[in-house]
Amino acid sequence: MSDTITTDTADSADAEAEPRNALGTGLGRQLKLLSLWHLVGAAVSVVGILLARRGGDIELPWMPRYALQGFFSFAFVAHMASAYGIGARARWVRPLSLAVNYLLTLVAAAATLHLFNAFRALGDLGEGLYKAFIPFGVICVGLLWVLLSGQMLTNRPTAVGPQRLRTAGWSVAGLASVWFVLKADPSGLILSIGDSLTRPLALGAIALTVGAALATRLMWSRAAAKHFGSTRATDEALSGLAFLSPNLLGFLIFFAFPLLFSLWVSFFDWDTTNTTRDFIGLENYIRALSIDFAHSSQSNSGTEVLKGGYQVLANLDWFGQHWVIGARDVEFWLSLKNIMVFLLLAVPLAVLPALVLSSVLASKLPGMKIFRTIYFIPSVAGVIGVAIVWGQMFDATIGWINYLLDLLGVSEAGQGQGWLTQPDTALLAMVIVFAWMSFGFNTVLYLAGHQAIPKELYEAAEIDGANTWQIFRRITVPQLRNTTFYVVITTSILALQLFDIVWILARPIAGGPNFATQTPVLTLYQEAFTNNRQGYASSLAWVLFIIIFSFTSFQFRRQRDEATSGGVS
Amino acid sequence: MSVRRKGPRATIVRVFTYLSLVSVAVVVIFPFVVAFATSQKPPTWSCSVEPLFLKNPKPLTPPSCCSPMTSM
Repeated sequence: MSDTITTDTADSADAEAEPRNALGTGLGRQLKLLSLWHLVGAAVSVVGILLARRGGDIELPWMPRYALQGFFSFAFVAHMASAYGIGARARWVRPLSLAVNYLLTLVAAAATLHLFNAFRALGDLGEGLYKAFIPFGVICVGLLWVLLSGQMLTNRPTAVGPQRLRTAGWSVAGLASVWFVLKADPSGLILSIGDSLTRPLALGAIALTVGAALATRLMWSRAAAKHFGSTRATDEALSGLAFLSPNLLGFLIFFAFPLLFSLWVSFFDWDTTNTTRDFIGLENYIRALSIDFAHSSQSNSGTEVLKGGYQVLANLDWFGQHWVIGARDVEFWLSLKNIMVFLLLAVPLAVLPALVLSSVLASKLPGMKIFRTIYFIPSVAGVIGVAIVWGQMFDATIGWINYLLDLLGVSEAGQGQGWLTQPDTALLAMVIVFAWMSFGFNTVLYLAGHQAIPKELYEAAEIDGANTWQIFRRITVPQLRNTTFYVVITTSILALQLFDIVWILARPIAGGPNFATQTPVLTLYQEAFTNNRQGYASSLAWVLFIIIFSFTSFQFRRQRDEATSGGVS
Repeated sequence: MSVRRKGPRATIVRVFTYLSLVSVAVVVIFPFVVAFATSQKPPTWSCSVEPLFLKNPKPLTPPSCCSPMTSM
């Protein structure tokens, strides 16, 4: 395609000068066919809308019904606009027709591959490769000889030895290929493809793929660009979008769409065990965030002083007055409290040691590379495996932590602390594991920040008689301000999304003991997959998103204010 | 921190620095050592009252506790 995309304003001017009756030429006939293609596409879209709307026994569930209707309606409008634009020779029609046909090519190609069982055939291919691994290795060796001989022949084109090596390489690779085919036995695959070729649906999918690809090719061509008066800027934008499309489509389909879909779901009473979905507006959000304060004449009052539907979240005694705080979803508010405590403990523990250690590791002392490597190991270890090991170490009876504390005389033998079973220490145990896992990576980030600090600053400070602490406080810390900002933000986001460590360590009751390790992500997971309330879980996810977004925005604003006011000292 | 100091005080600082680094390294490495040692033990050894790396331990009563997964 790359040879066809370059047009410029001169081309555009030529196009303007081209007579309007150019549709009688070869390009004109092709564009007429393309216009017809779009009209057929519009007709098929109408059929698609009618099929999606059909009722009776074959009525689709409401979500795919509306999704398909929306999709075919969009396709109908796009096809009709393209057909009209081609006839009217509108400048905007080329990008539109290209987009429609390009997306159609991708969808049709995916459908074709599916109808030919191509995705399942990948597994068969792997099996065949396993059976024929030795001939596959011989093929690779043969091709390696060919590559090596090619390198030698570039220096000495007439040398006999490399030419013989190349011939031998091709011979070995060719013979091994026959051996590979015999060993891998692709007869099942060939029969499957042959069987699929006899199905009209598969043949239709192939035809649709080829037709859409040809339509894309036509609209992409230089002649079409000239005909529709495309400018260089338009062509550059189309080229950029074409290169970006694999990533952009993946982002839109697998990230943006689920994200927006969860927002949509959050406005429904969406029970996975029922087929009905009731639109309830903001009720899920109201339920999650509802909180009630009530004055009480006695301490430790219960739900009797709260509004209906509220449960006691906390009893407070302020200046001799008794207050009861209630919430409709106590678990979610407890999880918010826990995650804030976790954030306040875990982030400093994961960031401050990294800052100090990086200053030492950035020095020229011998052996620093070994320590860097060791500190980085927890960051590359799997969270689940590491959490299981820490769970074993935290065990009250057989764990290493209590055993070592006994040896040090900190606790009595056999009277070890139940780190994970006591509400006072369970969250602390999670903090320790999180900090242990995070600080190594943060250290590496800080080390990268150290590289950007001018060495002259340290030399000047040494000459001025500054001690190590003063250098660290007055030079290293301010110079690492941007790195600290990034490290704090990323560590805080990770902390706010805490799930896997709690899921493993707080077993058998995730979030326990007594909700001491309940986190927002754990709550939304339990709501979605234990209580089957997808709508409510989605609303919790969006509340958590708003919290994280607000926290990050606050940090950004603070960083910007510091930068404009001359930074910290 | 590119300028190096010399003298007895600098030596003490350097020893202290290495001790600190080694201490942190031990904390970092220890769970992996435990995991490796556990992988070398028979299942019944994993639940010993005194957690030992490889030596034959005193079994926990009841001896049916035989897996770190179930003991958590």
